[in-house]
Amino acid sequence: MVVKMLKIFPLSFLKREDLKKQEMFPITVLKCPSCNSRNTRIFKENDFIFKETDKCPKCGGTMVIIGIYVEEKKEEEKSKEKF
Amino acid sequence: MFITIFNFFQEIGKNTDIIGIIVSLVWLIPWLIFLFYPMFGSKFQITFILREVEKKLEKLKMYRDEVRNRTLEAIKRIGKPKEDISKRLDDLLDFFIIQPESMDPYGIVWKLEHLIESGESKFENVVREMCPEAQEYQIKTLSNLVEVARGLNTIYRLVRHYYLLGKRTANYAIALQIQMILPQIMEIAEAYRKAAQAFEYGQPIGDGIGVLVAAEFAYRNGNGKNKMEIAKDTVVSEVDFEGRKVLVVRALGPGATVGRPGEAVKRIVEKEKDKIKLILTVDAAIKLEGEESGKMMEGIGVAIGGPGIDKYKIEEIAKTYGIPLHALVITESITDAITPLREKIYKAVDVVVERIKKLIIEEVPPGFTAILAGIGNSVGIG
Repeated sequence: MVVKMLKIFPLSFLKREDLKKQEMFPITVLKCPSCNSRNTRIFKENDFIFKETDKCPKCGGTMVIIGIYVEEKKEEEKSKEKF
Repeated sequence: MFITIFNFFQEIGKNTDIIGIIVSLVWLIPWLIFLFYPMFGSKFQITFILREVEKKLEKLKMYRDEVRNRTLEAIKRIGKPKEDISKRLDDLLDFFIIQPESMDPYGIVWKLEHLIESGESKFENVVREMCPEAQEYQIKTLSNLVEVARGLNTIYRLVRHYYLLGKRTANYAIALQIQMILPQIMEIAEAYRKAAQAFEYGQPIGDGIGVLVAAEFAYRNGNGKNKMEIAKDTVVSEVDFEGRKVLVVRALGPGATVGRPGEAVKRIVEKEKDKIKLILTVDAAIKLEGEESGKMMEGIGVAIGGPGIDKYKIEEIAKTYGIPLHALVITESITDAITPLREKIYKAVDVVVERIKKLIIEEVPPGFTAILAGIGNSVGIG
């Protein structure tokens, strides 16, 4: 009877986890080879590292993507572990 | 204990008030549980275990369906198929490669290589047919996305198998086995789920750090010359560095591929022979719990994961010509490895490039050659 009761009352309500999409939003870092100025913007589809794209706002030259990464959240940097 | 129960009934007989009877009955419950526990205890435990596995299985099913739908949407958006591809995609999710027979291990590396290459080609060809308007690099990235969906499908099928088997046979040992490894399985499944995003949009992933380091080394030293495809999806470029020649090997991006670094290094050494004084591999490595992501570590050997074919080829050729094997790894978690590149890992590039420069100066005499092989997935790295 106890076994049957357990089957009737689901335990899943005890810990309902968020199943929404956990998207990550990378940024694109661009560098101008002519004047060495740097620029960052939100990642756009078809961006890739070493791609020549976007005009340099300072000298008008073509910028190169030198990095695409997800920025660290500040709270993640602190380690909670003792060891 | 029987005396105690006998005393209990005597007590009930003496008690006339209702509260006294209730208290006596409540007192009896632990004794009854203790008495009958061996009869229903295992049933009780298996039910709890199966309930927990069932919850996780529901979650796995959600992950699988979500990634499958995401893959379907990406193929439709990028490849623009002319017909309904749902059935073909579902067939691909059940695709398998049978491991070669290892009863006689002689030549197993070549058999395994043949099977993996055949499997990859077949997979890519089906994706190519489904995506008539996709470019070649996009086909490679979409193939990886389908691989992610296939991986999740396999995880779901396996967990479901053990859950149903445990339930049907009411076998405590079977249910316990799957319950014990479920936390690790769920971690991998969640990593796969997040990986779908990277492959859908062609974003660099943590595993690509080796490729990025090699590309960055070439970029900072004149971008390399005589760039050519030396093996399937693998390029080599020549860099002059402090009087030494450095041959930079890496997977061809920006599509998602790991290339054939083993075959590439083998071909280079067979051509250059005794001129090669160092083979340096750079790869991402799974960190141990408690270690930080993006930390560089140095060692001896070939830093390559996977089925071992590339590692075998490099070890073989290095042994034949007596070339030292150095390895640099960047630590990261399993989730970091297949999800979009994190800042912490990206920042390791500068540290690793500087170490490579020092190593080449220390280990390679001027006038000689070093091979720098950046290992990993080239998604999002051109």
